[in-house]
Amino acid sequence: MEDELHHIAGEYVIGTLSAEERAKAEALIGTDARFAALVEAWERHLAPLDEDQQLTPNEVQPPEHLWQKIHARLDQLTSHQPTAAAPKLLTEANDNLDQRQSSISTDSLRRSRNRWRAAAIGAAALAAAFIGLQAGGIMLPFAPKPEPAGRFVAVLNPQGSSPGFLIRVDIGTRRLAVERLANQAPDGKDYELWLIEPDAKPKSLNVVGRDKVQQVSFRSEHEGQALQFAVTLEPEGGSPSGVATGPIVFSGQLLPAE
Amino acid sequence: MTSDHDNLALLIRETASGDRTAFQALYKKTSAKLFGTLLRILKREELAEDVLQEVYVLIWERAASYSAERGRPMSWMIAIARNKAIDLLRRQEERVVKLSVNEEGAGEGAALLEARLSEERVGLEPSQSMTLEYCLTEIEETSRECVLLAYQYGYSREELASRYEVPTGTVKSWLRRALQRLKDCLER
Repeated sequence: MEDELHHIAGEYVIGTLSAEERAKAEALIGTDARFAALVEAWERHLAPLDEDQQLTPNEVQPPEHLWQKIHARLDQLTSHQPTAAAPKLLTEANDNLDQRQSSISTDSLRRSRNRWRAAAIGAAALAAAFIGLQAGGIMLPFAPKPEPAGRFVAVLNPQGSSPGFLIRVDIGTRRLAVERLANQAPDGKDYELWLIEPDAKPKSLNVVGRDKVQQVSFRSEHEGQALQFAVTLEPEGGSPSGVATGPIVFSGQLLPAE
Repeated sequence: MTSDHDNLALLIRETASGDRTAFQALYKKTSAKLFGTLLRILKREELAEDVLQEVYVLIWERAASYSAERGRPMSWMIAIARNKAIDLLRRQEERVVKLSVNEEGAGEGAALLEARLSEERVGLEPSQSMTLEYCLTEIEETSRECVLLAYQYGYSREELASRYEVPTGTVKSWLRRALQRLKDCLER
C-alpha cells in the first residue's frame, strides 16, 4: 500500500498518469497529507531535471502583453474577493437569477424556481467528488452519495478561485440555465461549454457567456451525478473542429440542488 | 546563486501579502524559465501563453503557502507550471485517443502526436545534482529515457509506448521499476 502510494505519487510528478488518474491524485493531495508529502518529496528529488542546461527550449521570454493579461486577471480576482466572499456571491447570483425569472421561459424552470438552490462548491468538495473511484489499484475511502432525482447545480470554478459559471440543470427536461459570473471572454475569444460524460469524448453544448444567462438543452443517457461540465476558451464563434482547442478555464461536477 | 533564491523567496513572501510590485518583479525574474518549460511540454505557443497566465494567477493565490520546506522557490513555481501543462495535455490526449477511434478529427490527433514524437534529445547536465544523477545511472537506459521524456517533455505512457514500439503495459512496468529503483537509491 505504501509502495503503491509512492508509485502513484512518482507517476503523478513525472506526469504519466492519465487525466482521470491525475484528477484522483489531485483530490488525494487535497485530502491526504501523507500522500501530499510523498508528492512533494518526488517534486523535490526530481527538481534538478528542470535545470538541465541541454533542455530545448530552456528559457524563452513570453510576449510582452502577457503580463498585462495576468494583471487584469488579478484585478478581476480582487474584485471578486475569492475565498470568503464566494458563497455570498453565489447566493446573490441565485437571487438575481430568481428576480430575472421572467427571462427564463421554460416551464419546468419556472415551476422549480424555488427549488433551485445554488451550492457553493469549494475546491475540496470538488476534489472529494473524485474520490471513491479507484486509483491505480487502490480503493480510496469515500463513496458517492446516492443520487436524488431531479435538479442539480454545477459551479464551474477556476482552480482555487472564485466561481466562473453557475449551471442549473433540470435532469427531467435536460435543460440548463447557464449563468456567467466571470468577466466576458477576452476580445476575439469565446467561452465554450462542454458536457463530459463517463467514457465519452466531451460534447460541445454551445458557445456560452455572451449573455449573462443563457439556456441550453442537452442529451445524455447518464444520471446527473455522472455529468461534468467544463468551459474552454476558444476562438471567436467556438472551436472550429468540434474538439476543444483552448485551455479549460472552468470546470465542475453536478451536485444535487436540494 | 544562493542570494538569487533568497531574493525569489522574499518576492514570494511579499507577493503573499498582496504586493503587486513584488509580484511583477517575481514575474520578470521567473517568467522566461516557466514559459520555456511550458513550451517544451505543450509545443504550441498559444497554449503555453494561456497556461502561463493561469500559472501566475495560481502563484499569486498560493504564495502564502510557499515555505522553504517546499524546496527552492524556482522548483516550487516550475512544479505548478508542469502540473498545469500536464493536466492540459492529458485531457487533450484523452480526446485524441477517443477521436482517432472514431476517425473524426484523426488528422489533428495524428499531427499532434507526430509533433510530440519528433526526435528529442534526452540528457542530464552532470553536477546539477550528484545524487539524482547517480541514481538515474542505476536505472536501465530505456527506462531512464522514459522517466526523462515524461518529466521534461510531457510524454504520456501511450506516446512512450509508440516511441519504443512496445505495448503500454510494458511502459507501465518500466516506469514502475524505474521509480522504485530511483526511490530506493534516493533514500539511501
